Amino acid sequence: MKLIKRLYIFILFVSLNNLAFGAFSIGGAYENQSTLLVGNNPTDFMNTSLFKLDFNYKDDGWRIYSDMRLGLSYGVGDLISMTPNNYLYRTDFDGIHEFGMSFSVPRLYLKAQSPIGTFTIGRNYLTFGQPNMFSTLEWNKSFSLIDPLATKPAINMLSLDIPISAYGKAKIFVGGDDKWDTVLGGSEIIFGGQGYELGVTYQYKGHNTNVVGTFFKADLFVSVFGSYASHINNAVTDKNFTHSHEASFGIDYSFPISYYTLLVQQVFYYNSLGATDKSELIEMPVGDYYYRGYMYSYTSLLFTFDEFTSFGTDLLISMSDGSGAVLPKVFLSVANNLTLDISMAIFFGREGSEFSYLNEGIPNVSCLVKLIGSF
Amino acid sequence: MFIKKYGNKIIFIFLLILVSNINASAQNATEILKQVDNAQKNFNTMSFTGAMKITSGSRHLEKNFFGFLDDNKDSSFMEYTNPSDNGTRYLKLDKDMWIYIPDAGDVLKLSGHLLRDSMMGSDISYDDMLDQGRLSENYNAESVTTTNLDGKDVYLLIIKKKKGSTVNYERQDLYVDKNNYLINKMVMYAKGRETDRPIKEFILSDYKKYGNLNMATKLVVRDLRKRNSSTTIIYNKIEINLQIDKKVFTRSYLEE
Repeated sequence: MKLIKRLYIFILFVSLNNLAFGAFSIGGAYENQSTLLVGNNPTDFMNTSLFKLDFNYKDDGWRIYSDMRLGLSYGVGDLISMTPNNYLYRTDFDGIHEFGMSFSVPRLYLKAQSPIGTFTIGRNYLTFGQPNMFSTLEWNKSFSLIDPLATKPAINMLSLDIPISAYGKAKIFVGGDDKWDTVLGGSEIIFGGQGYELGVTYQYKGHNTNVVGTFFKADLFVSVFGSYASHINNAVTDKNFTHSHEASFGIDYSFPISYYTLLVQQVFYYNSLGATDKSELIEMPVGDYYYRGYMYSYTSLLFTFDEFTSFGTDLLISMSDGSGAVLPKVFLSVANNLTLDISMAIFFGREGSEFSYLNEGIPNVSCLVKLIGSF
Repeated sequence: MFIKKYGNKIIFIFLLILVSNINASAQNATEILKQVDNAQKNFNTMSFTGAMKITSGSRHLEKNFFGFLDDNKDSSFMEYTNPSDNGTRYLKLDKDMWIYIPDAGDVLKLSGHLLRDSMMGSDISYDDMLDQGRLSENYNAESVTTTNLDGKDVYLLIIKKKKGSTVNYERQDLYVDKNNYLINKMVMYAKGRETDRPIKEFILSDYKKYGNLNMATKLVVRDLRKRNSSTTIIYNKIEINLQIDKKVFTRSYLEE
């Protein structure tokens, strides 16, 4: 830990020491998120105000970037605990509601260009998968079931990005979590050509678990994309050796309707380890998968009216038991650098079904209102 | 008697003159289209800085950007610098496009069908903004006439999509300055069931000379299907034929 702290102090020192020579910029945002849970007894809420500050320093062959966030949250304690922040201060308010003040640095890294590629050292996102987790749903960012707010956890790592053509690149990385309990490593190669992209990835996720994956995207009459991951765990020790498969396949197409655009996307997801027994859908641990079932259907409709207004809905259905969630959403540009996003999640399913654990069989609605001002 | 005797010949000669005039017009139109391309596309590389103002009724949004073009490789790179989109980057290599999303720190390949969609919700599509192909490569010149535009005599050059071309517009009407072959106005058409439908209008003005290149530094774009909507693009700084690092036009540069 001391080494990591010294490294980050070094990155900041280099940044400050070179301010006079390169291009330095500061930006950021204020984001207010209000979450309302309707259908719970009693109705609950949480409000988070997030101040985000970005520093970016760029010189010939160098770039230093930091993304720091200060959050103030108040609301139902369970929700506050779910937010992935380091809390500086928390207090019990009335046994149900809490106040919390958090500070986090999701990204703080130094990039250095070299003749063979770009080295990055520091705290950063993995651009494929998450630490300890690679999912076939993760690589394709055109929809984001799992990372709607782009708040995926970052890790401490050293990576090298090597351009292999105008369309492709290779990447290798080694890293670890904050306490270095888990050491990670991996590589990725992306090839591309006119109208297609193809990638292969390998990750050692720590604790004798591995994943090998491949993914593609191609323009045919519609855009098609898919991915496959093979999880190979305990392969070296041969203790409780497991091998499982995960795959996704989808299409998307945008329909011009007069000057509006309707973007339609359909994705199917399969996990060979998924539960088929309805009781397991609620009870079994998720492990390094995002969902418990073996097959899901995801449908997304997004209607873009203009720069100021777009709206749509997502529909996620567990094909094991027919339960799921409808996620209507509206995005509004209120003024220059000020946006308002309103989204809802309406869970449905019979009692005992996968998504009913959120509502105990009672239709349950959560509403998120997000106001973002950038500077 | 005269008509009876020579009627067929007169009609034949009339048709011959008509056809030759049409041919001459098409030939003339083709020549003018080449001149237009030469006047507009006379550079190898370009760097630009500009601002985009999107207007819908009484509402406005402003965006700032900079970018690079390589005309020889049909490649372009663009980055937004206004606060809400700061660091959002686009790379276009021929018909493929990627977007870098700074909040996610990741690159996403845009589906091909999205290129015809509005860029940042403006009246301009991704293709309109970043495509720098020569018109004569994708369109046939059909006819040319003389007309008046804002008190100025201009050529009205009608060009139609070549068979097999993948451009978005079926037809374009170009209003071309007679003196320098610079386009003052463009009207784009989509294929309709019976006749082509006008869908977009570009007004090009404030031409400035950069070396041998004359370039409009102000573009007003209207989607003709929308009411009270327009996008104005103003280029503040343009430099041409610079040495642009090759890596700028690579996917991996988006993440640097």
